[in-house]
Amino acid sequence: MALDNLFLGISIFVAAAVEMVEALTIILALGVTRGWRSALLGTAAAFAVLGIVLAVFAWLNIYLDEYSGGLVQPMWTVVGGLLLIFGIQWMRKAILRISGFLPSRDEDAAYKKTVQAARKAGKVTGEIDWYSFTLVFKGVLLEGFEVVFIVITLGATHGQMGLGIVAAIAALVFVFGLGIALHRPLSKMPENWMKFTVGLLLMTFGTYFGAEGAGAIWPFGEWALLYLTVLYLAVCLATILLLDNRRAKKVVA
Amino acid sequence: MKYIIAFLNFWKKFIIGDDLRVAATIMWTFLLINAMANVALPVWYIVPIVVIGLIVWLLWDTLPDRARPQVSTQAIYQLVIPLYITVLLPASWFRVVNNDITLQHFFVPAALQVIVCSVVLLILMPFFRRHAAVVTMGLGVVTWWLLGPGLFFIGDMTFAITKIPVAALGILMVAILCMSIVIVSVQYLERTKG
Repeated sequence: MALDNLFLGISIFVAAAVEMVEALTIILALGVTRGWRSALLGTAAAFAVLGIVLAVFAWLNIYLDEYSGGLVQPMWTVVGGLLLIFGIQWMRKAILRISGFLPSRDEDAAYKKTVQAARKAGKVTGEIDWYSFTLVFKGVLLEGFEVVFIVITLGATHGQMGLGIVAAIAALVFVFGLGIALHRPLSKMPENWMKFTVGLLLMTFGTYFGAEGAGAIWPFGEWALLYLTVLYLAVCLATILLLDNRRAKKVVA
Repeated sequence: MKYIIAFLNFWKKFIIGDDLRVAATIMWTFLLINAMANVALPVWYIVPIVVIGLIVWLLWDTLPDRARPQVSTQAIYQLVIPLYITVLLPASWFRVVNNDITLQHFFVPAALQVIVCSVVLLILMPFFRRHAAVVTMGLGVVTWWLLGPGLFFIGDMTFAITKIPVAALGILMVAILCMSIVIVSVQYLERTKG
C-alpha cells in the first residue's frame, strides 16, 4: 500500500472513531432513558442524510475524474485550506486538553448530563418520541458531517474515495460494536490523543495538498507527508511537554 | 429569512470554526505562495512555518497570563533541538541530493534558512527572557549559516564519489556541531542566570 494511502486510511479511521464515540454517547443516553425505537430511527435518518451527501460528492468526484482529470489544482488549495483549518483547531484543543489547560471531554459526564435532561423532558407520547429523535438526529448528523467532510476531501485528493468510505465504515462498526458489547459510553477511549492524531494528520495533508495546489513543489514528492508529520509531531509534543511542565510547577507551588 | 441566516451561520461555524484568524491566515498564506510560485520562487517551506506559528499564537492567546511560560532553558532543549532535526535536516538534505551548488541555488536556500530560523526563534521568544532570546536568535542564525556553507562544501566534494552515505555523514557532523553549540550556550545561559 502506498504511503499516502496508508496515512489516508489511518486518518479517516481515527477521525471517524472520535466523532462516533461522541455520537454513541447521545444515542445510548436517549435509548436507555426514552426507548430505543426513536433513538435508532433518529440514527438511521441521520445516516441516510449523510449517505446522500456522500453519494452526491462521490458522484461529483467520479465526474471530475472523467472529464477534468481529477480535482483541478485550485481545488486542491481549497481542500488543503479546509483541512488545515480543521486540523489546526483540533490540534489546539487537543494540546490544551492533554496539557491540562482545558477540561478533558468526559463521556461518562456527557452521558449522565444527557440522561438527566432526557428524564426532565417529560413522558413519551405517541409512537415516535420526537425529543429523542431530534436530539439523536442532530447529534449524529453534526458529528457525522465532519467525518463525511474528511472522507470527501481526503478521498478526493487521493482519488481514493472508496478507501475513505471503507475506513469510515470500519470505524463506525468498531465504535458501535464496542458500544453494543459494553452497553455504555466509551469513556476509556483516549479521545484527546485520538483528536491529537487526527489534528496532526489533517495538518499534514492540508499543508501538502494546499501548498501543492498553490504552486509549491515538495522536496522528495510524497515523502513530504512523512517529514511534515515528524515536524508537526515534534513541535506539538514539545509544546505539550512545555505546557505540562508549566502546569506541574504551578500545582507544586 | 431566519432559517437562511441560521443555515449560513451553521456553514460559517462548520467551515471557519471558532477562530476567524485561522481561516484568514491560511487564505493569505496560499495567496502569497501562489504569487511567489508564479515568479519561480521556492515556497514549500512557508506553509509549515505558518502552521507552527499559528498553533503557538492560538495557544498563547488561549492561556491565562499566569500560565504563559516565562523563562525556561529547558524549553530550548525541548523545542529548538527537535526543530533543528526536523526542519533543518530535510531542507539541507534536499540541497545535497539535488546537487544545488550553483551560486544562486546556494544563496537562496541559505537566506531562506536564516529567515526560517529567525521566524522559529521569534515564535519561541515568548518562552525566554529578553536577553536569552537575543542570544539564542543570534546563535541560531550563526549555526544555520554554518550549516549552509558546510553542506555546500561537503555536498560539492562528495557528490561525485558517492551520493548518500558521505553526504549523510556530513549532515550528521554539522548537526552535531550545531547541537553542541546550542547545548554549550544553554549551559552558559543557565550559569549566568543562576
